[in-house]
Amino acid sequence: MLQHYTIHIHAYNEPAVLPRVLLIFSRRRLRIEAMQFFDLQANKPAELQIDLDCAPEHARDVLAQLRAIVEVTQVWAEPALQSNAVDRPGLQQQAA
Amino acid sequence: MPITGAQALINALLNEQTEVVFGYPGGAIMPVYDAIYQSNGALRHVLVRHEQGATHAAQGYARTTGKVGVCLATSGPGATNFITGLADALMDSTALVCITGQVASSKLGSDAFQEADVIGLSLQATKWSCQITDPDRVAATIARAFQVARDGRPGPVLIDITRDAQSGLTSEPNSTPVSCAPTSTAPWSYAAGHRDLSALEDAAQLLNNAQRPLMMIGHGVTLSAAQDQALAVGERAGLPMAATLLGLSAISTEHALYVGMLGMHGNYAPNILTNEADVILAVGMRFDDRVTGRVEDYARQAKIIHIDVDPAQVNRLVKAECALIADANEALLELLPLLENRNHSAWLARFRELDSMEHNAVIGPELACNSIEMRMSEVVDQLSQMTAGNAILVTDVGQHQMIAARHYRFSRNAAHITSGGLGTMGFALPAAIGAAIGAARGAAASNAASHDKHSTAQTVIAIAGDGGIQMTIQELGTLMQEQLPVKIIVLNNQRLGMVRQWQELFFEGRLSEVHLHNPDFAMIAQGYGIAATSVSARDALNSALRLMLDHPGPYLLEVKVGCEDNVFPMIPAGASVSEMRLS
Repeated sequence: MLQHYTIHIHAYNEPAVLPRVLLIFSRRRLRIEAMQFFDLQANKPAELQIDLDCAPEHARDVLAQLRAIVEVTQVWAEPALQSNAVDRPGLQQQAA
Repeated sequence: MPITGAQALINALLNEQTEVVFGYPGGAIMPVYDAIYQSNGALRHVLVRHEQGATHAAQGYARTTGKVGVCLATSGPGATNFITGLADALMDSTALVCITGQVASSKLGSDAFQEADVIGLSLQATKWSCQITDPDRVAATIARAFQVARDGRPGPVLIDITRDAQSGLTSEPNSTPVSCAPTSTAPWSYAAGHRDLSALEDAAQLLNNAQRPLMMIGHGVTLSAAQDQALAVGERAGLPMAATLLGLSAISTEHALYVGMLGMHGNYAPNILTNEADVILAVGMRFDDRVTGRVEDYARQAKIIHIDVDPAQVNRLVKAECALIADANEALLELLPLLENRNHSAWLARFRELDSMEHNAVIGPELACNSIEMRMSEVVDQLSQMTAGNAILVTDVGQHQMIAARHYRFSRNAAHITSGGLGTMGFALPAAIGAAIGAARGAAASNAASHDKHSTAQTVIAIAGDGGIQMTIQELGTLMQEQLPVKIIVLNNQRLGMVRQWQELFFEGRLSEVHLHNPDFAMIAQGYGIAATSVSARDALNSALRLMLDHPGPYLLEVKVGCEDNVFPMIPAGASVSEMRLS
């Protein structure tokens, strides 16, 4: 069952970060429907918002992989994904 | 006095206690090679014969020593030749810092001679990558590269340095160690800093109440040097202990609780009984498809406790009841005092029953030595006996890899090096070169500590098939030049054996492009000045192995084995672990 998600990514805007983020989606053949990028302050994380339709398990997998990118500091999805061991301690609380 | 970016690079590598780099020079990396020359031997350089060999050698070194492996290459084809090794290291969590030269920054993107966008090309094969265009950024970037490579789940980092950044002068002497602690401009990832042991008591309760528990030992146990802790937890809770391919050697094969290897060609008992266990403690493993078989049917009855340093691996393929996100050593240390003494002898006896079935159906007949042609398993079994399971075994990819994993009885930690995730044919020979350098380093340190002048490094034995050895056979040149005592066994069945096996079993015997017309491997080795012999008769095997092991330098032994053998047991692709076949 596909669901619509907005994925929020906070990351330091270094040259290879954006392609690293996008490759995580393309590798799973996920089609991005909309993307917004905000880099408002020097030396602060930029924010990337990605809209897509995908299965919840794909969204969870994508979130886990995004967190493994070195420059990424925060990731969360709207609507929030079902709690599991990966998400339980972390990022949704941070976002809140 | 300012120094060049290339000199800053050498200083930065030395700051990280780098002792050896594996590399191959070329136009865009020449200032670095000049700095190596001028360092007067402070940094040992091993000249490989192909850049892929440098990456695998660095992997072998890293996995033997626990240090970061370092390799060097020029731009363009030198850099692209790194890609396979980078991907291999990423899959198998090996800490590498790979440094490539690049065209001058003014020419970036102009399709200059030997320009390749190696940052772009390597994005999916690296944990992190960075291009340096300013000599003042060299020291800090290299320091950060080492930190990223080894922290959290280890992995490969690629640093691409433009020619002008190598030859340009720094504004500072740049010779002092650089801190790479996270700052606003040197961020650190969420994953690396993530630690969560809040489910520790739940995990202990599950284990204390388990009736049919099973512990799975993965590569993470070796990476975090958690062998003793894993053993302590297993023994306290009475857990049968199985290992993944990369977890092999973390627990001695002879240990009373060790029940064998998991996975497609692993042992019968741990695979079959995975689907009967009520609690699984998985440590430093990622439930890859070779271990799980058909994942929908995998361990559905079990409550899974998953310990991993990488939160991205938890709940990715198999849902965990309890997730402990931490270094394996740390998690096991904290788990141990919460565990009660348990003994699951009846459950362990089930493993031994299935072991007997495997022995009667597979192992016994394989070692009965009643076939006309020799079998790979006989060779590995004799080798295991003659080395008392004490060697560092570096295997290539294919049938011989599975046979070696199944039949070598490991008695020492971190003694099994293979390409597990990517399955890279050609891995063994260069990785064994790096492993031999690492083992010699370990022996030297041990000698210094014990004042034992007679202690020698562990024997490093590369086992390859006739297909895989030819993918990186030019590294015999490196072996000749370095005179490392690597022993190479080529198990020659004149076939791409695993492909042939699958074609026989699953493609109705249509053998497509698996017959190899091979050269004389002994003669090739001798051409490189490496002692070698070939054996095809069973009664000559033992003396040939003895000759190889007793030879002081590098040695190649070709063993001609039967060409129609299959590796069993086997979980057919797409089948459940409980559908493992003995024949």
